[in-house]
Amino acid sequence: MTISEKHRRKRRKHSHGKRNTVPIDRLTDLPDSVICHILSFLSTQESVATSILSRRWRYLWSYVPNLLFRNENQGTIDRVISLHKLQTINSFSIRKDDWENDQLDSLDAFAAFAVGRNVQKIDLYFYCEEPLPRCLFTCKTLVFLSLNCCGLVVVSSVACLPRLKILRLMNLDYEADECIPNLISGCPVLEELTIKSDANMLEINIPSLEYLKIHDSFTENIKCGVLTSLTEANIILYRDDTKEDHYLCSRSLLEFLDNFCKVRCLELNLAYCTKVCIPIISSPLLLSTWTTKFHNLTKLELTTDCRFLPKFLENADNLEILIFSEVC
Amino acid sequence: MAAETGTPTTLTLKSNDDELFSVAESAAILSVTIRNMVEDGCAGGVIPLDNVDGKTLASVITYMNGISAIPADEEKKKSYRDKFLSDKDFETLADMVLAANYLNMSCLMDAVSAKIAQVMEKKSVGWVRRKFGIENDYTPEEEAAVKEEHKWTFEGVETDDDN
Repeated sequence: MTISEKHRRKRRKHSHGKRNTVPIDRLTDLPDSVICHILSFLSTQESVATSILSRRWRYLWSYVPNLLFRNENQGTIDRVISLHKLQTINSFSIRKDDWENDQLDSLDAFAAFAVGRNVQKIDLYFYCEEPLPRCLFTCKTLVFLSLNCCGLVVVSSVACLPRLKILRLMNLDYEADECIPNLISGCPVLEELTIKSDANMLEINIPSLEYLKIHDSFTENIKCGVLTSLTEANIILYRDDTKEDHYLCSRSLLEFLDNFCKVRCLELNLAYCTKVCIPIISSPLLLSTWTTKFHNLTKLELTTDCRFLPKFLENADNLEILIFSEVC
Repeated sequence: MAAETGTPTTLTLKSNDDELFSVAESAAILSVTIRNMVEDGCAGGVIPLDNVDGKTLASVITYMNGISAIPADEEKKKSYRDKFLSDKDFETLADMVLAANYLNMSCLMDAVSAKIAQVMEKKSVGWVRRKFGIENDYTPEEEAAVKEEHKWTFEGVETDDDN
């Protein structure tokens, strides 16, 4: 690094004089670790492109701890990961815009690379129908996992994600009903969970959970267990094709809402399950028996029939902010 | 220490061009480098910061005071950081990232690094070389080889070196 030293001397020489009038090669003073830190905020394409700058920069990109692929094809990604030199990486992300013409053949190599390099954050958003590599669900270093549209979830036994704090499962297919329960029961320190899918069976029993987002079809098989740390929930439920007894269904919906009686912020959208709500709004008896208090609730964003609102307000006696959207 | 006496402790920091600055200890210990000095009992007199000039140190102290006045609210802290960096030119950002690295202030380091990366995006090779003070020491053959090796990366990047 002789160039770097030369510039550092030059900088020191001018530092006591009128430094602003002298052109100083400021960023040449930076240690490699700081340059790699700056490059970690760029996409991998941009960071690899800096190899053209000078000999010193030729391989710096291969020590950048974040790999952020945007629309690169399989060959390019394979090549980049084969040249990457760090033994521990921070984040690995692949996002694609063109889902029809530009599909990935296999995720196994990427997942093995990321998991093998002790990755902390994985973010995948592209279209794929293949089974997701199993090593994603047994990664001991993973803190953040976001999977969107990117494949079939196969978790036939309990997962092992001892450090995972944030889990987002969106628009995925599941091989069996047990996959989601198997997955989340392997996350003992989970703080944030997002589930956006048509899960037939969902049992959320996570004492460490602070934030929960469910955009799902409502069935009696959605159950919440111990949610002692939960402070914020965002719930959108779908269900209108049911042929079952609406009254029973309504009761289970109210029982489901009871799970969120400790939260401070609740966003609840029932616009897509209006039939399930009919008994709630038309039967005074059913609603009068719903006496669960939401003492901690300070912010409520509610989308439903306006006849449901007074009862909710009665049960939430510390409410400060209400955002209500009426569904007719 | 502030907690023991009940009165806020003030530290005196000295830049490499001999300017002196007073700053509350509670704000200054955002810097792990300074915090270690305080914990080791070296903060009684003047704390010399040999790698930071007065202009940059003044700016860092403004940041320390501003960010430590905001309670634990990550969104508000982020918007303070964005506003703080919004009017800084590239040369100032370069000085700030060196200072943040030396002072071991991860939140400032991340914010400035992200800002520099944002400025670099889609810029031509010539622009980045000039701003970073990089001397192109490749032979034409080497440069052509690197370009060929990673040609997928040069799509969408400005080719006009005068930007």
